[in-house]
Amino acid sequence: MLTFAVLYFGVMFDAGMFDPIIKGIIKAAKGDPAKIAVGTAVIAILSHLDGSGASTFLITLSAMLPIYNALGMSKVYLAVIAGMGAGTMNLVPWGGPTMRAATALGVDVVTLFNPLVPVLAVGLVWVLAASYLIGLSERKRLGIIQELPEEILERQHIREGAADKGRGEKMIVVNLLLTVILIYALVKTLLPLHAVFILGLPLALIINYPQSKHQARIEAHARGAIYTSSIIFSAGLFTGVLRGAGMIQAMSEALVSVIPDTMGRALPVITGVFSMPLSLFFDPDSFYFGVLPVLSGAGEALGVSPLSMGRAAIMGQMTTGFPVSPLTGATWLLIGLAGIELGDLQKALIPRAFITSILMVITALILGLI
Amino acid sequence: MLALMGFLIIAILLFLVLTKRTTVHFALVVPPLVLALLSGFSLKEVSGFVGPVSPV
Repeated sequence: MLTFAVLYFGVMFDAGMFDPIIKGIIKAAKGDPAKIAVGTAVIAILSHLDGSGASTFLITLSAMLPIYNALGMSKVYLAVIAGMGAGTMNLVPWGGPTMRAATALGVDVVTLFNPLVPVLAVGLVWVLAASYLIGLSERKRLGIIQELPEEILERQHIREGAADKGRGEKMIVVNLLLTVILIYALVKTLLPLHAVFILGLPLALIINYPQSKHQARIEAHARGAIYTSSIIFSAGLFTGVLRGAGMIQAMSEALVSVIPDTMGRALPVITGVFSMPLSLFFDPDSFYFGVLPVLSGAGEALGVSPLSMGRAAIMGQMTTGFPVSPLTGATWLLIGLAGIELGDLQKALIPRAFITSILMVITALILGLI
Repeated sequence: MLALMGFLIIAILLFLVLTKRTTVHFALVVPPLVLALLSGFSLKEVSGFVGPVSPV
C-alpha cells in the first residue's frame, strides 16, 4: 500500500495538484516559519479527525513538505509537528486506542471518552504551543523569508524544466476529486487498504500523464518508494518475531507481574505517565487486550474504577506515542514521506509527546477523571 | 525468558536507531532474527513469523 501511496502522491505533486494549496499557505503565513509551523499543526490535527494515521501523514506531508523545502525549514520538525498533532488527536473516540480500551474493559466508549474533551483540549493547546516554539527557533535560524515568492517561482521553474506537468494544470479539480475519493475509501475501508492506491496510481497517470514515455514519472519517485517499502518489509520481520514468537505476550505478563498490589490509588497515574513510552514496546492490540484488562483487574481490587484505568491508558499508549513506535506502519510512512531518519524523529518527538501525555494526565487528575 | 528477549529486541533497535550506529534495515531485521534463534526457534519458524505491519 505504502509503495503505491508514495508513488500516487509523487505523481500528483508533479502534476501541480498541491500548488494552489502551497501558494495559499505561504501567502497567508507571509514567509514566517513560526506561522508555517502552527499551520502544520492545524492541518495535522484537522486531517486526523478521521483517526487514521496513514492519511494524516499523507495529507500533511504532501501539502507541507514543499513549503518546508522552499523555506529551508527542517524536515524533522515537519514530521515532529505532524506526529504531535496526529498522536494527540488519536484519542478521538472512533480512533483505535479509545475504541480498544472501551472494548477491552467492557465500558461504553462515550462514557469513557466524553469527560476527556477538556483533557484533549489541553493536549492540543500544548501541541500548538510546542509547534509555535519550534517555529520561533526556525525563525531565529532563517529569519522571515521576504524574497520567498521568487524562490518559489524559481523552484517551480526548475521543476518544469526537469519534469513536465503533463496535463496536470487543467486537471487540478479532477485530481483533487480523485484524491478526496481515495482518502475517503481509505478511511472507510471501502476497499482493501493496498487496493486503494494500486487503483489510484494508474488513474492518476491516465489523467495527468497518459503516454508511455511518461513511465519516467514513476522512476522519478523510485527513491522514496523503495525506502518506504523496504523498511516496511523489514518491520514485518521485526513485529512478526515479537508477536509470532510470543514475546509481546510474555512481555505483557512480565509487566503485569511486577506491579505490586500496594500501588492502589496511584495505579491510574502510573499507567498514565508510562503510557506514552509503552507505545514503543506494545502494539495496540497487545496492550489494550493483553495488558490493560489485567491492570484494570488489579486496580478494581483496590477500588480503582475501570474507567479511570482506561482513561489513563489512552493518555499516551498508541495515542501521543504512536508516531514514534516501531510497531506501527504509520511511523515508517511518516519518516519515508519526510525523507528523514527514525532516530532523528524519535529524539525530537519523544520528549515533546511525553510532555503532551504528562500535561493531559495532570489535567485529568485535576478534573478527577483518573 | 521470552519477555526478556522481547525487551532486548526493542532496546537494541532504539539504541541502534537513536545513536545511528546502523541503518534501520539492519536494526529491524538482524537483532530480532539472532535473538529468536538464540531463544530456540528454528529459521523455518522465524520465517513463518514474518507478517504485515498493522496500520493505525
